[in-house]
Amino acid sequence: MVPLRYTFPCILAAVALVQASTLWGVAPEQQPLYSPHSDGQWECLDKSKKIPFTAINDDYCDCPDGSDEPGTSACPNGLFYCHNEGHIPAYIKSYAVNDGVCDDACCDGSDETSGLISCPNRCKSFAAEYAREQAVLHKIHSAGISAKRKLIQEAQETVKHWQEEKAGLEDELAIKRAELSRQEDAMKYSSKKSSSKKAKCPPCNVATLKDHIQTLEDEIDTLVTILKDMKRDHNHNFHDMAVKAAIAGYDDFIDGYDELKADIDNDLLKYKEIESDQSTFANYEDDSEEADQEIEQEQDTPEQAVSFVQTALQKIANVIPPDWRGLIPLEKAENNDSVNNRGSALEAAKKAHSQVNDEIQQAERKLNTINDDLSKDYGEHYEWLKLKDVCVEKNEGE
Amino acid sequence: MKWGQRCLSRLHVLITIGLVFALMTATTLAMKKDDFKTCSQSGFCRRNRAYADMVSEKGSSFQSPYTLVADSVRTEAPSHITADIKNIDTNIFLTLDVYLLQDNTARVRVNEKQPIKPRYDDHSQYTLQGEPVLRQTSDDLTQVETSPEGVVTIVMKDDNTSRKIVMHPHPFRVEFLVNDTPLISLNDRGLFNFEHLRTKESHKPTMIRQDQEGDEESSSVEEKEAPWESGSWEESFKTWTDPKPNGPESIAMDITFHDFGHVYGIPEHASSLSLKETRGGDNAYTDPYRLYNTDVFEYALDSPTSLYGAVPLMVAHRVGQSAGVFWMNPSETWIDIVKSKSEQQSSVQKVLSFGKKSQGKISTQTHWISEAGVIDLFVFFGPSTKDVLRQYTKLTGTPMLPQQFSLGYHQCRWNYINQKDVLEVDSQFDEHDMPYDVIWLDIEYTDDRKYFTWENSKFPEPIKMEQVLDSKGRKLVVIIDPHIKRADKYRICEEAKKDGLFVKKPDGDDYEAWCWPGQSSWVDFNSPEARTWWKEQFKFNKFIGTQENVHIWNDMNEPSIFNGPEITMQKEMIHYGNWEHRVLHNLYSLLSFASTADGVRERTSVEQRPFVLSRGFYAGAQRYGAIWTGDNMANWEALYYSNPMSLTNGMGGIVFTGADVPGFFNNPTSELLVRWYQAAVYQPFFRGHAHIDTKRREPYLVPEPYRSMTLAALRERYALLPYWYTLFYDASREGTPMMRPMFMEFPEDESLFATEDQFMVGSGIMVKPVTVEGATETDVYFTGDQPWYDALTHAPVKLTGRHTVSAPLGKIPAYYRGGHIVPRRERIRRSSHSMKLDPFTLVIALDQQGHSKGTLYVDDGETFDYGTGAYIHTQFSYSNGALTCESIHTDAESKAAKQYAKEMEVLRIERVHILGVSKKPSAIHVEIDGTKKESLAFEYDSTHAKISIKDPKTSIAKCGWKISVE
Repeated sequence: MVPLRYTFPCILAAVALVQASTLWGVAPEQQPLYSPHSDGQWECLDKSKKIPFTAINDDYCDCPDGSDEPGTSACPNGLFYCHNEGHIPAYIKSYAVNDGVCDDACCDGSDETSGLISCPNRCKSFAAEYAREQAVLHKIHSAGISAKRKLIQEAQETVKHWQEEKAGLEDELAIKRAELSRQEDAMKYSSKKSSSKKAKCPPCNVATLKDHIQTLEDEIDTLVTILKDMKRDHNHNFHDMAVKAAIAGYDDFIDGYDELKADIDNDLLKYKEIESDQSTFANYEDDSEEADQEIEQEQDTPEQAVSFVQTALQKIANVIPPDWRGLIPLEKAENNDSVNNRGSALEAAKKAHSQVNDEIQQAERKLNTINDDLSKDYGEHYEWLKLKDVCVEKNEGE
Repeated sequence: MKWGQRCLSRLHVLITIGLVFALMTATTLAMKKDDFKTCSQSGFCRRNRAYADMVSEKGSSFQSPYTLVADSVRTEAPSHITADIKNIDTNIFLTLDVYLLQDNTARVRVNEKQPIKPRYDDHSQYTLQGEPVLRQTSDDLTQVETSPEGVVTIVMKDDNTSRKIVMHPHPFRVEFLVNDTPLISLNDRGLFNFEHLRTKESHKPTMIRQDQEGDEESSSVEEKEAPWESGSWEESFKTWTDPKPNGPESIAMDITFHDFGHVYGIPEHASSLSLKETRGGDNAYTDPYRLYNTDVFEYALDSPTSLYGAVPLMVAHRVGQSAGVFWMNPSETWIDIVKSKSEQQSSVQKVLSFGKKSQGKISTQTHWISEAGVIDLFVFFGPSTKDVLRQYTKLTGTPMLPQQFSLGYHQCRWNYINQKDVLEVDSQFDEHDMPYDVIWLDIEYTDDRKYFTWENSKFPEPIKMEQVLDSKGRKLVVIIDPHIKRADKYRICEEAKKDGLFVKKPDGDDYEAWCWPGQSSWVDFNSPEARTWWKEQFKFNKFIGTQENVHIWNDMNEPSIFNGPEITMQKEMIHYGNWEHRVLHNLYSLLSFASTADGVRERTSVEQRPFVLSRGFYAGAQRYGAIWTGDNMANWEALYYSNPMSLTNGMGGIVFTGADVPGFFNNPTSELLVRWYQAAVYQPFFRGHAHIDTKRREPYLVPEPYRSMTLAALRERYALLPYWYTLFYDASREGTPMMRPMFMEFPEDESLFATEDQFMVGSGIMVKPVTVEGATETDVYFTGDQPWYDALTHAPVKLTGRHTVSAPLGKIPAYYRGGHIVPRRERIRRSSHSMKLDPFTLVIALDQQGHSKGTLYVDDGETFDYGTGAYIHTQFSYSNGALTCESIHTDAESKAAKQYAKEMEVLRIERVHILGVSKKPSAIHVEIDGTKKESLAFEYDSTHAKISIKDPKTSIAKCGWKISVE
């Protein structure tokens, strides 16, 4: 070890020397606080205690607030003032005094006097660096201000536009709603004239769909087995992130899957019951033009079957990972019911009604969106509006 | 601003995935037990257990086939007696060597007299510090007598104690006695078994008789190979087949500890401090304790399964006597433990008429089974546990005195991702006024897990990073593992390949398997050339990007091999000297650890004490650095086990030990984190570590009020560093662990013999870490007839026996022990480096007589200069109202001692607390060198019965002062 000359007594000497004028570790404006009472006592700055004036900076902590040791590391909660001539003065925490570290905040090196380390005065170079940084900062700041101004201007235009659109939509809605109510009256009239008929069987092959479900279930089971084996047999020590993610996904999936599968199987079973029930009194229309032979043979209730298949598929879709969803035909089966000629007036009214209804809904949606947008907090002058719908992602650490 | 809807839902998904992942890890974690062998799956263990069963079935009709050959006993030297042993069943001769060693130690060696090839016996040069020193002896102190019946008695007399070693010839049996009371016996139960080397052709398996079934005419019985004989020449486990070219070669011995109800040691296991029974009995394990270094993923607690390290040292203790046995063998070893009432078992008790009546006392019977090598065991006569550990460390070396910084807090994580991350964590500690000394880098700092390289994109300027740390006196520890990636243009691999420094396959090619880097080979640390080469790699011009404040972490050195049997190396692989891995498996950890520590020490011209942390270890590892208890879990059970595991490591000489704080796997709750930091204040090695899947949990990240509590714990650790360092120094001289079981300090209190949740730090502080969730109080057992003092309030504890004490989350139940002085440094600092010149606070806990004593050791904390005398060792004494000090330096007048003391004269005492003072003193004076008496300011706290003296300005380096309380 390099022999060091530790100069603890020097601190006291230094302190004694400067005591008359300035107290070590105390800012100039604080100096007046450090003067003795006539009895040679001094009161801690928090007024908690009176101590001899000589106990200030004696490298022993007397005051609970640490105010008696501004120039040493004796108190756990004190602050040390560095003059940093030529740069900006600063306070450092007491623990950084004489700890063998040249703190950047104390560029004059005044915090290290024990001999544990020698700290050169770096204030000049720090000041120059600081000035450079300030210049850069100022530039960034100005650029920022003008950018902000622009953002606010743009945002206010956007908001104004939204407000105009909102007013327009509100007017439009009032008109459409009136129209809708007229059509409803017309419809009520028409409906008295025609009696509705039960919707017909859609052109769907239930057996095929059932097969599909079975196939999909089998395929999922195969995948589940593969994943289950992988989870059981993989080598933990390898710590392969892809494997771990796959296991996490599997656990997530398997949680709901058994229940879901039971649901589907149950539905399938129920469907079979319905099927057998209804086979005894088939009562669907036999003049259906596009009725599928197979369905007829199987004495099916297609609507029920289709909706059941859809429900099952929908359920599967809900639990499988998003990436797999494309594999399942989720589109609602098109209702290809042939247009019923009977009661065409009613149909026309219905059609018109539904059209207006659609328009109203569309306008309402638009209005809601605008209201939503307007109700959000974009800052005092809408300066953050630019970030609407902008997704920022940043990986920090892990 | 508000997030757009899309962003929100995306965030939500991320959180959900995180939660699911956390749940997944919580529910699926468990040790894969079937990855590791049970005794019945390990051929030699199975055979020897079957032998033990056979012996016990036959009862008194059984007689061990080993006999001492008449007239073969010779006294080679006054402390070395030899003899031959014959197995009368096989007619195989063995050699017996009994050595009497210094400090009441005996060594017993048994080898084959004429083996068909040498048995492995090459490890003592690595395990032992040097050749064991024989007992200095003269005729009247040591006598060897042979009775007409052939009983050989060796008598050793010291002071008022007579120690005897008695060897009985038929069957061969050895007894160790103290004052004619049996202490330890070998082959007391007849389980001694020495499988001689043989060829497959000459192998005669043990046959057992089996009644012929369904053949009534023939009343004869047929002999059949005993079922436990299978696997003698080839053995399968899971998908691996061990070819076992040498066939059976195991050695086994039963060792009885007479009248000892408790045995300790044989780390490393996640088990109780007082070892459990393994063959029936209450709460017994079904398998023996196993010593076979392995990387057990998420190891089970309360289990005799082997873990990362192995020290075959067992210590026994009873009131008035401790003793120990060191079974020096680095091959796979199993130890069965049975406890029995004395009158039922011991043949010694029956034979010796002069033996003290000890009816109803419990004896511990152990059965040691090793796969290969020779029998080479040491018996330590004690008489105290501290004596046993001193005797053991005289052989295997005392713990090294580590650098001061390594006693501080270490911050590790798998992984700090880049240079910026490292420095960010570093500055966060400062911002939160939290002290720490070392930041660590796990495997990801390397380029593709090629050790001795850096991932340049993440760590473009490692030296610059290290310099920033160094400016605050802090260190960096980086990981270096013994597996070397098989890669082209990777210097380390190419050199080792070229010079044949890797472990080989039986066919002579380099052994290759999987570890972190993928396809790898393992450095053959059994090769002197490989060790020399390895040491070189730590030179700053080889390991580019490191400088003096960089130290090393050896992980995976069991060795851990991902696709090997039991996650380690196949036993048939070949090391230097043409030895199978089988014969030296546990030694591999020690050799890699030793080579690394030597390399780090030798990389500088003025040698610095190396700091190396190793996961694998074997007997003697204490000479090289620190050990941690491996990949534990962040749960309350693991926190509990960190105490008995660290205590047990200490009982195996591995004193610089600790557990990952606050658990490696999983995310700890804030409460668990606080309690774990509190416990670790009092455990020797204090490192926060975390698995890569866990959330960041540096102590400044926990929310209030937990953060302040963690901060308080860290500060308490730093305040206690002078005490810790003094204890480390004591350990480096005597082998006494810093963290001690209660019974080590209170050997007469039987109710403490199994205590493992409460322990001593040195002889002056007692701790009861809280390891129960939600606890606001805990039971503490206050033993002895001297007072205890609350470490926080300093108030005397007026209790004896077991009591419930208040222990809210912010409180660590720790107590100063009456009669002991604890030196502290109470200035708040960033790191231990900054405390070098800080003044001391003495806590003087008075005993009932108003006395107290304590020591303080100080040196430069870095180099080996203390070896030449550059240190301060001071003893403080308080009696009759006066505090004085004296140097207990072994050579205080040496030049180095004087110079260092002068340099350090500025080290002063700034505060003295005297605990247990019932009356306010009228005045306190200090006298320096017998001249001028100065009055000292002080405060008296009548509620806590303590005096606090302000700044006596007395030096710890220059005694000759006196502080008087009047």
